[in-house]
Amino acid sequence: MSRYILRRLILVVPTMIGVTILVFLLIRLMPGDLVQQISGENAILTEEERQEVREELGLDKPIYQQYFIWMSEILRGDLGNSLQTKVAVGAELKNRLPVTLELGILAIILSLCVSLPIGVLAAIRQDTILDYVARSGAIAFLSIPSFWMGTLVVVLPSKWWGWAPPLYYKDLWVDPVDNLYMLIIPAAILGMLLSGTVMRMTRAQMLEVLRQDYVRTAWSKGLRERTVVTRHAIKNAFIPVVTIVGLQIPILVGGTVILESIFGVPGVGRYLLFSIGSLDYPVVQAIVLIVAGAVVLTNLAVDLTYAYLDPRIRYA
Amino acid sequence: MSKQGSYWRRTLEQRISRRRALQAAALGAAGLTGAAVIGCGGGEEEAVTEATATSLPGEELRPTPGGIYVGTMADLYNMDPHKPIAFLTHVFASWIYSRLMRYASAYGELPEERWFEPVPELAQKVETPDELTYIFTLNPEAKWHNVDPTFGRQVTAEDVVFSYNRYQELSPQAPNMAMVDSVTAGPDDLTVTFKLKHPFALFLRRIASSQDLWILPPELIEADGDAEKRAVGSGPFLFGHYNRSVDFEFLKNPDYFEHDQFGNRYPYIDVLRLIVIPDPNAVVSQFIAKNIYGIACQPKLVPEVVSAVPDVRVNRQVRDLTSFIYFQDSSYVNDEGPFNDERVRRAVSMGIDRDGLLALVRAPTDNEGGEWCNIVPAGLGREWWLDPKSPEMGDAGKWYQYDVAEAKKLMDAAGYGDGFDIRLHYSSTVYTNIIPYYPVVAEALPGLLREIGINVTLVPEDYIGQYIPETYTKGNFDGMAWGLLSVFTDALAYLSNSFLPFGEGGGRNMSKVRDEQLIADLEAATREPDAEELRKKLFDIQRYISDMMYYVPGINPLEYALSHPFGSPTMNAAGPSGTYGLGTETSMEGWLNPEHQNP
Repeated sequence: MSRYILRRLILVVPTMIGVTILVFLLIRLMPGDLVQQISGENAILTEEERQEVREELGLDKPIYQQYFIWMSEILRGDLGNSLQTKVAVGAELKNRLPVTLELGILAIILSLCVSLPIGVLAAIRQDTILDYVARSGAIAFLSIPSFWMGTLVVVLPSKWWGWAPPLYYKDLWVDPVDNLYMLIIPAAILGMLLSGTVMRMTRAQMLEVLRQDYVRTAWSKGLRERTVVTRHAIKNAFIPVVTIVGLQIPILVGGTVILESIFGVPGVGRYLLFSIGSLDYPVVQAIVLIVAGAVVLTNLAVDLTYAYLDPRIRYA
Repeated sequence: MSKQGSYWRRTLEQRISRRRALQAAALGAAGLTGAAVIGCGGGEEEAVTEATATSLPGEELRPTPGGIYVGTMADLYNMDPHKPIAFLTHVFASWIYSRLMRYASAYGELPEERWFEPVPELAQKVETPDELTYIFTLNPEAKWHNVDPTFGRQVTAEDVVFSYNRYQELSPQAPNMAMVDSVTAGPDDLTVTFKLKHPFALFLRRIASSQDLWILPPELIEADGDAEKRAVGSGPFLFGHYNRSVDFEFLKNPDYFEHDQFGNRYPYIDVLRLIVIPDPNAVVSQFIAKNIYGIACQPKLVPEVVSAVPDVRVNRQVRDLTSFIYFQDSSYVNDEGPFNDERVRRAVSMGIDRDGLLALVRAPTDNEGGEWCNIVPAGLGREWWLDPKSPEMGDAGKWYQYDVAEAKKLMDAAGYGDGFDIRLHYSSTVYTNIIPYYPVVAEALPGLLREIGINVTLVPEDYIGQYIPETYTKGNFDGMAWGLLSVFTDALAYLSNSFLPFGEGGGRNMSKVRDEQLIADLEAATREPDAEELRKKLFDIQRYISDMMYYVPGINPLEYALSHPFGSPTMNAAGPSGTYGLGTETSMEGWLNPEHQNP
């Protein structure tokens, strides 16, 4: 087992190096003139002035040198400064990461609260109205883009009832009620996709487990439905569901980019979107690197969990 | 003394009369979107139902200090008003920093002849012993914000000199002050003298410009190296915070030096909270839900909002924003066809149905409104804008008339009777949200020009990636481009920037027009000491450029600002303003009714 873990950990290193190269190059392939962007739309710059700005930003150096400079800073724990604001990216992320994490965790909690019981109910009431509604709902949740649902939620209530979701963020530790009031709707929408996936997976797993011999034995012993389902079926059915939740986290992170913008949530996603628009290389690089790192580590955790749960994997 | 001198005397003599205060109370507000801040001009405010705005002049309105005003604002790229900047930086600066002078107001009760009138801000008095000397005496009450690193220190003449030197060193706008020879402090701490190289009739107006000489404290620059990390000035609001892409918060400056006629210090409100909402639909929804108090609204959404909010105030304005078609620079640099021939350019102009375009971009509920712009936009007022439809335009007026048959004759005479294919570049991003009419007109132009034989292929460009860095600022494109000219606050600035040689004062001459007669006329206008004579000269220039059609002017459509009747019209009339100086020219004088002071 330890050898397996070590091998997987070693594989993380080239993956992360690949990620850093991709991130570094891709942001530079984006169309746009960073020098003009930094200088402002009204600026008429001579070539000498442009060169000065390039030198100031370190963009005059060969691309590989820029990469190594960035990497050496990253390895020292320095994510660099925003080209636009000159503020340290690390400091900005320190403020924004908890907000995105809160949104993500809230989205997971809400989606699990909805999808797990409905998935179980749909399985034990297979081919009833409840099952059909649950399956249709799951398909709808998987199909509806979160940005579309977000826009509808922002626009329609104001037309119908003169109400709109609050767009002014309050910190969780300062005003938890207002904080939740603001985040609950984007979290619910963010969790929709996860809900659909988990609902379908839970139903499928439950159906499989309910057909197992040991469950049939439980029924034959005359146990009540609640006991059979909760004590014998659910635990086994939930193992792959937990894995699925882990694998959905990167998708959740992607969803925050749009939803944070629609709902005015001051998280990492919104920061990323703004920084892409302003060609703020250090910010984009840092955020994508952190997200990619989180995804790699999540996948690693999932792999390790599999290995723990299924010995065949670690010996393969 | 010049007309500006008389402006100044009159303003100082009046101090702040009740009438002036009531006029001021009708100014625009702090709630703004990206669109709201680009420019402005005159406008009319209208209550859809029985709102208070229309009854303002005859009533004894007393401000009620306090409260939190919630509006909207777009993201900033840079907080330093002297650094190379975008227009939003100037707007931001207006809440924090001061100018020597500011503008009286932009719209509302203010009569058109007072638009862009310079009035006191930091300067309490100005003397002009001769045409080349302007001696400003600073207001002794003017103090820097009582925070680190200025701690409430008095604003001095040395601060003005420091700011002028820094502006000259760093700002891309510095050519706007090219007439200044020297700036010196003394003989006392409150006296600063500007010596000019030549007489300049619009000097005080230029000093009041919200795009130019913001006064910054030297200790801020010494401490931070720039003004990008925090903002400390002498303006009506203290900088609270700016959470990028989330919100701005400005706090009342309790020591601000301007007072109203009741003795209250400006500003009235305690907190100005401006939320960044990128999605225009979300902005409207938040406004309908009364979560924000004022917005600039896309025309097509106006009826919907009016229906949802019956007591909404609707402010219609024509802003000082020039829209125009410009041509590939080889037309003028290399005398390359087809646009080197003025007959083709005139045909392009005559192929544009400006009234049709105005109707296309109005709110569906409005049947009229909007103007044809010249290179000088209608929003500057008739004192400086030569209306293409007016008899004063003379013979050149006919080139603005929509006349397909005549345009075809011109094309034929120029040797393009069979027409030609051409590309039209425009920004398909950014403007789409903040200036709703811009993309609509871009998409309408190919259909109009096809009628006269010009087959246009639209070339949408990313604003940041291509349009601004290449097409707009370098003139690096082929064919034609549809654009919006940077906003200036006087007619001479519009004309000089558009027609002086590129890079020699012609910062917006992206087609590289070089007409020696025009250059000579502009230089003569620049040296004209008398404002009335200057106006005549600038009208002559507008007639001449209309005849030559180096650039083909577009339209100044109605733009819409909506507000809830939550307090003074000042705070509620969110949206387009006369200048970028919203801090002192609008927000400072607005107040909220007590029941709406705490959202």
